[in-house]
Amino acid sequence: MKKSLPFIFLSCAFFISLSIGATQIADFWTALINPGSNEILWQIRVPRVTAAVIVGAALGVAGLLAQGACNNAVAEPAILGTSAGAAFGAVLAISVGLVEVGTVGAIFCGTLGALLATSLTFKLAALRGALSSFTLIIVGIAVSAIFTSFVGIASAMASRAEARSISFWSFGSLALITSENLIGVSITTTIGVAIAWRIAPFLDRLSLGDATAFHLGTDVSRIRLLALIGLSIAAGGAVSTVGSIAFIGLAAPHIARFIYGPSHRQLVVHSAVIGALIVVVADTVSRTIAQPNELPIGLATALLGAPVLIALVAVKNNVWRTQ
Amino acid sequence: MRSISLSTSGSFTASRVVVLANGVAEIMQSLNAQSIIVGRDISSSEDSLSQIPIVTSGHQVLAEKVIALKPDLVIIDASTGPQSAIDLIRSSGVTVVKTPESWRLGDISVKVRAVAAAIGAQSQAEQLVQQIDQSLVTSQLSWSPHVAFLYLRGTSSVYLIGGSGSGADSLLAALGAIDVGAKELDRPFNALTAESLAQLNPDVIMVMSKGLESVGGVKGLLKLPGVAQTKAGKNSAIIDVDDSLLLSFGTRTPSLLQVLAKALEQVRG
Repeated sequence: MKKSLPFIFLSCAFFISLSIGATQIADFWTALINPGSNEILWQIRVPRVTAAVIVGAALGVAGLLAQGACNNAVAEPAILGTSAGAAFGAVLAISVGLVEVGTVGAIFCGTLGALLATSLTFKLAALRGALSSFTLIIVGIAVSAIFTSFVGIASAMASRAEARSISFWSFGSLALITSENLIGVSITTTIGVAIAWRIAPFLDRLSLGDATAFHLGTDVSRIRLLALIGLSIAAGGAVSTVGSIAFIGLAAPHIARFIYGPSHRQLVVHSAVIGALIVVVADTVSRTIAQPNELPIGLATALLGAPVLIALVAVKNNVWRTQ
Repeated sequence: MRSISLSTSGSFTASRVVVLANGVAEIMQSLNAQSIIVGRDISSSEDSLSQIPIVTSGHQVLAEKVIALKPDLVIIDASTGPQSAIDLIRSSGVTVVKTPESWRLGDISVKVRAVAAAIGAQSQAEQLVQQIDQSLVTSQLSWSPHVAFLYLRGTSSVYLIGGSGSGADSLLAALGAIDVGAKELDRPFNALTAESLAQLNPDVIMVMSKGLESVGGVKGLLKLPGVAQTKAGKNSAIIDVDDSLLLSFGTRTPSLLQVLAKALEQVRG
């Protein structure tokens, strides 16, 4: 029962989210079992809520990979520079007219940017010898800040308004999602989850410390590299499609770890489901609370997710069980 | 776009005029007073004015540039700003006249008379008003399309739709078209989500040219969620009108109405 609880919650949230919005859908259930029957439901709301599920799963798993690879409780795409790098890669490619928002091309460029920024963080953090968690976070924040300002400069200079606003890239929005946008982000999320699933047992060993993992026969740098690639692909796909949605990468794995313990195979599934749940709820809140305006979803995820994290830490100081 | 103009010229009480209000330059041209315009704001964008220096930065009036032109009259309206620049111009001894803004067809004559009074051309104004009134009589459309006037800002996640008092409502009403925004919404501009736009389901979507450009043209607009689900989206019934012309309500408006009528007939599905 405990294992299926997040799935049940996610299914409920999914249908509730589909049923509420700016307009009333007449005969909701009839419309839902007849694909394509109601345009507002099928062409606007279904793609949007589906995107929320996919993006949430991607960010949850990206956060898990970040924390697992760095063996660090506060590592997440936004802190390691991954999200900012992805936004930069996408904005740059869009503003020079190479690709359009939400396309596979934009996702490819976003993922490249994510890889670049994340590797930069790891490289710079390791400049003075062994990779310390503390240095990694500080360097990550700096790299993030640099790439975020690049995004600001690029979107201010871009005459193409399709490049979208700095607010979109910093806080995210699912308002402009269409069903075509789902293809690319589904692919990257699947790849990210697959990599996470594949290396999960090694992340278990890595959590015992680099030396122990090495003595257990783990190729530490190879696992870390794979994690970095998986993290960049998952977060890169999500960010280049809907902008940077903060907090999911941090909150989802922590909540999963709190409920289900430290085994990474389990955590991959549960981080994905819990991430999806948070994003679906947050998007529903952001599009209904201030009608007819819509809030950037990043504001809602922070409002929903931050208290959860504080509560977790307050209830149980040792969220990061293995340290 | 053809403008209604007087064939005879007269004399004016001002000799160096700076216009800082949308549509005023157009009216002065029609009164054959273009020769006394020495400076303009960025919204006075007709080609025939291209030789006249612009004295605004964006929509902000630069007092120094205005005073340097040594005008004897500056014409502003309620949206001209910042106030500090206007105060500065006034305190340098220049006469500043505020003319009314126009948001409806009925406002055109009021504005023409106000501009004419400012430059001392009252008698010409009556002639011009008469000509405008005659040409405003438009033929009705062969259908009553539901039209949504959208204000697009490419980067935003919600649309702004023109409601009652947006200006577009007056133009559409004159043609016998139905402004779906004005029918439902009391404010001139209203936030609208993709879903609400799909539900309003207009036959035609009217936008300003620069706004259309900001979403990547008709192709980009048709891809946006909400637009694609409307009848207008399905039939590509999109009409774009030059930004400064659409809501200027001046001497080019009668001819704009004819062009709009033609466009609305063409997109009939």
